[in-house]
Amino acid sequence: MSGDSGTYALVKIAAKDVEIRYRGKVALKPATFDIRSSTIHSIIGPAGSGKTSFLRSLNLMSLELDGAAIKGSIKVDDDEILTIRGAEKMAKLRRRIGIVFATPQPLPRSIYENIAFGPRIAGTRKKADLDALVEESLRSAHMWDEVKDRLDLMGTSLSGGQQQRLCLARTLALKPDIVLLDEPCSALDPISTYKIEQSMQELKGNITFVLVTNNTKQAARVADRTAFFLMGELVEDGPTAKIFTRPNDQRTGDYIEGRFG
Amino acid sequence: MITLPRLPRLLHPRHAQVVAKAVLWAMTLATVGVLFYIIYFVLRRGLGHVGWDFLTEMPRRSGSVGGIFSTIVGTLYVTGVGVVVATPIGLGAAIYLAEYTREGRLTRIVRFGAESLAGVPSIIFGLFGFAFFVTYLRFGWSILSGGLTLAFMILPTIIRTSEEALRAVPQSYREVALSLGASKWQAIVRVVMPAAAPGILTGIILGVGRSVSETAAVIFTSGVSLKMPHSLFDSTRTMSVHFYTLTMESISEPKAYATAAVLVITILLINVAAYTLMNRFTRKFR
Repeated sequence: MSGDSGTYALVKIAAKDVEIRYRGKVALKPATFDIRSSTIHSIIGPAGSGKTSFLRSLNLMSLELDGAAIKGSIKVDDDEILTIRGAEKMAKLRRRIGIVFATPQPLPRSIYENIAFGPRIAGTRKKADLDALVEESLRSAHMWDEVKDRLDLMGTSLSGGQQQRLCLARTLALKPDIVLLDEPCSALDPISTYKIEQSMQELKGNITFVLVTNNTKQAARVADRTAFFLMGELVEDGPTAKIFTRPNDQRTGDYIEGRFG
Repeated sequence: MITLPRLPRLLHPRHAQVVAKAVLWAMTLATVGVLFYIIYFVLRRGLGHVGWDFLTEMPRRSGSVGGIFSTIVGTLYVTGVGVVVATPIGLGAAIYLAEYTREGRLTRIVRFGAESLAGVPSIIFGLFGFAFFVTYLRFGWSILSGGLTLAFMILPTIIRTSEEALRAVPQSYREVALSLGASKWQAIVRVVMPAAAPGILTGIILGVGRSVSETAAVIFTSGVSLKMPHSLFDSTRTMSVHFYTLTMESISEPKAYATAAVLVITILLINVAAYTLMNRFTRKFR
């Protein structure tokens, strides 16, 4: 854990008074915290704490798909994203801010085509460029050696762990500078979990990771900083080591030690 | 707690179970039985007169001699026009209903309209086609008039099956596509439609089946010409209409049943194809 060393790190995502509602019902009360560049920032908390709502607001999927109303401000590299409208601009944002969902969601096509999907839409047409992207992305997701001889296999025929790494690779193929992960390992075996965590550690030099997780141990293992959400409220945010050993709030300690949630 | 009055027991539950099973089984058998009997009835009288010559020769002397070649061609043309016109319109409506609207008053009205269209008797379609395409638009008795009339008839089938197929595609596919930088339209074209393709195709094939077997709507709009059609504005006679004419005008019973046999086999093949596709499609998402 490198948490306390980050005081001079650049702010990648600045959330200020972010409030999320679904048809008037509050999912997240105004929350303010920063996510620093080139770190793994985990968000922990029990179900219904608003952590996934927050994550899906970072690439505006909550706004477009779930009917969320978001107030406040979310700045990515000092640019406000909550005012972004229109298909073209949203697509551009989502190429910069990738997401991996809780359950592996390969599209019903080959491994190669799963990964080439995003770059193709973004305008990459040359076979050689796509080939290179596919290989690089699969290598980053620690999957290349397993599948390099069968890239035309259906993505849906892989094991759950492989499917999720394929989804990570697919996201990486767009060269994002932020990757959102929504409980990415909740359905995975320990080895696949380890490989995904390893990928995050290796890639965080270039990519900022926001990791929503139900697994506090995972947050302790990989996250530089951790935010604790509870019942739609940001309880506290700080270096992971501090959150786990000397939390400011009683509730944080209770949750981490498994007294509720 | 309300207790129901005990009914007098006529049968031991175990025996009631057996009786119920037998009755239900008999009802099922009756349904399938009727189908098989019709097929048997038609094929037994007709199949003996069907040969290569029958399929490839032109009908002569009002169809009492020769084959049914021009009616096969006419059926293909009329059905083709119907499907080519109805598919894009139906698919467009289905995409709109499934992807671009929330369930509400408008979708209910559109769906009610489509369902009502499906319930309109085909002879009314024929009358409408005659008044509108044949007379008002001056297309005359032609492949075009018949095809357009059929297009309106099969539109509800195509809309409904396509909409169901689109709705059966998991929501997660759309989310994934959007999350990878696709616009909503790109997500529909590149991910949702390919996944729904077998279901959409099933609807189209069912539409083909309905077009091939349709008589009333076509006889008023495409006419009864036995000549080989050369353009969309030529009149033609479909197989169903040919069968009807041969029977009603007592031209030739063997030729009538032979035509019916070809028709029945064609429809059976079309339905088998549709259900095979449908099965493959539903299995994929369960």
